[in-house]
Amino acid sequence: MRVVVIDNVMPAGEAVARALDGTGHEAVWVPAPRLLDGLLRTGGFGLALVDLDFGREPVSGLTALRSLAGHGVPSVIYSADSEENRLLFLLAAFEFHSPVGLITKETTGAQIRELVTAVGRGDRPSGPLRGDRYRPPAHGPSWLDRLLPTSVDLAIWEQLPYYTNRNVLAQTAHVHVKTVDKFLARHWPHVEELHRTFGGPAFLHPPETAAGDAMLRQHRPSRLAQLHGFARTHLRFFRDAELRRLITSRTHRPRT
Amino acid sequence: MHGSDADTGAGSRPTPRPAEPLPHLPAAARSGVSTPESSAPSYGVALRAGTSLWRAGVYFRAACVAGMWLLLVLPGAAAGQPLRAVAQLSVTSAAVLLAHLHTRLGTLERLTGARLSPARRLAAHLLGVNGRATMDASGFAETAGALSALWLFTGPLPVPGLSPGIRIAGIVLGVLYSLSAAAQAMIDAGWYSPYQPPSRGLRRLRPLLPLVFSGMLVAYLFPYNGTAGVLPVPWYAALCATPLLYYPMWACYEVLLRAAAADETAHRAVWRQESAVALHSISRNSLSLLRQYLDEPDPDPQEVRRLVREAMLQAEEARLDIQYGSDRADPHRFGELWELVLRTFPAPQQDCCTTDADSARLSLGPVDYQIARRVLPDLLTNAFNAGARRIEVSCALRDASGTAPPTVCLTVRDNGPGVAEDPAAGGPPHRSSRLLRHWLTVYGGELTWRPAAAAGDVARNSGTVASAHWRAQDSGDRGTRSPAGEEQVQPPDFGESGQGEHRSCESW
Repeated sequence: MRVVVIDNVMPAGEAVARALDGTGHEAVWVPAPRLLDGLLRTGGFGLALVDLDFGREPVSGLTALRSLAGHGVPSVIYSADSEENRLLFLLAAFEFHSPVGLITKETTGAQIRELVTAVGRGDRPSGPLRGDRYRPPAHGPSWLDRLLPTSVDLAIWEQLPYYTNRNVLAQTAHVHVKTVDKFLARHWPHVEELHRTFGGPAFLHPPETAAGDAMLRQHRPSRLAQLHGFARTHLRFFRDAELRRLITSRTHRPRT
Repeated sequence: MHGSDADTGAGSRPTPRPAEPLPHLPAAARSGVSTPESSAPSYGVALRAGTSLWRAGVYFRAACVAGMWLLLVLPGAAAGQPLRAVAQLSVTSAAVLLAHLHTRLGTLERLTGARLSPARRLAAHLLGVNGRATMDASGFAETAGALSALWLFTGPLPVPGLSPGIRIAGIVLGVLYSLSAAAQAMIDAGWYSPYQPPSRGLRRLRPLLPLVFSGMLVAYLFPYNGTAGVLPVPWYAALCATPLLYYPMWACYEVLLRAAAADETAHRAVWRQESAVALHSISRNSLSLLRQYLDEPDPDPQEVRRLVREAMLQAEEARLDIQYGSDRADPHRFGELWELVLRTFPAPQQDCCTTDADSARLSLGPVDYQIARRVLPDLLTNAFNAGARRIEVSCALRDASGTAPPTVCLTVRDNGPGVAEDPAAGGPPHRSSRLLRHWLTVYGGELTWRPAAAAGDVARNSGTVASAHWRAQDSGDRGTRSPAGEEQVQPPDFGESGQGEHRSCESW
């Protein structure tokens, strides 16, 4: 089976090639999603390992997942889940494209062989390689349903990393100030819950600073400021062109 | 980004429950405010804005002075004491010239080396007070200039013989001159300087300055006599009140400064976050790949060294990305890759390596850059391992005739005794050179080692020529281009099986 590795750094592709050496599977590396269609047209690919972050490239793995889905190639996310800014990308990938599994940059060669062999046999990966942690629930709203129910929410999330003034935020997102207030009230519990669910190893806890602590004592914490911090962490996600396409062309009504 | 801004976010929230800080957010973000310096007007912004505004103000005052000169020479002006009028207006003109000189830092620096001692001292003084909120020579001169100009047309001893119309026009121009000069003092960048902050006394005086200027105008324009009384009372009152306009102007200026500082802080925070994540991701991924390889049975030390060098290369790239970002004209130039790769070798080995100017100027597409980035360190390492003391590297784009795609050729010539065997032929299956040959095959290329003589290098009796070539992979504006600038790209072409036609670079 030919396995395409979409990652902006070649050593990641080589690591997969090394892992698959002698298994009868062949790894082909592609450094950017924009080159993927040309390769997929040649056919013969049974699996794709997709990174979610492409450094300088202004695209994400979500674009690659769409190409792969269009060619009927099953995909596995191949991403660093230790980065706090990957979380929403992972959730979106599993929500919109249902990849068969997840491996991280720390996954061992043996695990990569196990996963590729399982997919080659037509089985689904087992254990943590399934990435169940990031899959949308069978019932009830998904994380993205809650965080991005409409394109208006996306417009506010897009601007939130840069502004902590609700009036300015409303202006830049082209919405009414009351919409911003509702947004803050609606999304605050979601972000809290997201943190409770995925906190721990997926998040980095920044050190407290003396200046920050002094400020904390003087000022009441505001949701806007805290959601601003959350949006800043996930700036790339909220400004991803493919996400915008997915949200605006979403056919199903978000479950709330 | 100010505390008050963030607090407004809590103002009309539908849910009354106070927000608990998220532990994963920075303390400053959780508190709803930014760090103290973020809410203060930025001295840098004030300095940049002030420099432009100052220069524009000088030109405005020069226009006012020119207008006053014009009033004196107009037909029918008939100043009663022409020499006095010229002398008074000359004081104002000299003050404007001095203010203009104060905006020309280069000229001032040259004047500090002047032979004339007063000029030297004046230049040193003006340079010394630059960026500080303090009274300086140009400030004093402009105050004197304003008084001199105004008391030419009004005041206790106005120049006689001017028609009422010319006198009123002169007074208005003089007031505009004074307003402009005083406005510079109100918005001087020195008020915001963290390095040489204004004294407490000056800071307390600042809010009173409009009133002080207003009081000065009351005194300057007072109808001391019939000649000065030509100015109608409503005009007198209005002109004296004009400095009060400084209050809204000052407020707008502060708002703009604070907004610029807040915007800069927000973008800096985003940039810092992105840089931190990028650095963390790059270093952690590199080390993860290394650990992954070390966990394999029977890891090859040569491959371990290569992975370490790869991590060093990524660190260098991250530094360049963060340091220069999108300012880099062509981040995929072979010359840039060459510099990066050399930095991962010890200094004595760096001195052994050269490349030619054409190769350095070759602009690679992103994919070809990645392939070259993978090939170059391996070929250099192999050459050094084979005992090379001198290595010449070239990279070129060979255009194919007809419809065939161009080929990127990377050649490494060394003066070593030569490799005993094809480095890509033997060794464990996961050896770097074998993997490299595999990748090049996928991209329609090949990797060869040949003795220099066999490769057609008649100038050498010994040495090896290692050659890697592959089909140029990139298309579009960012594609691989020869140094001359002509586009020589082809759309991605992986072939039916991903295997390409092999061409040797020596055959070109």
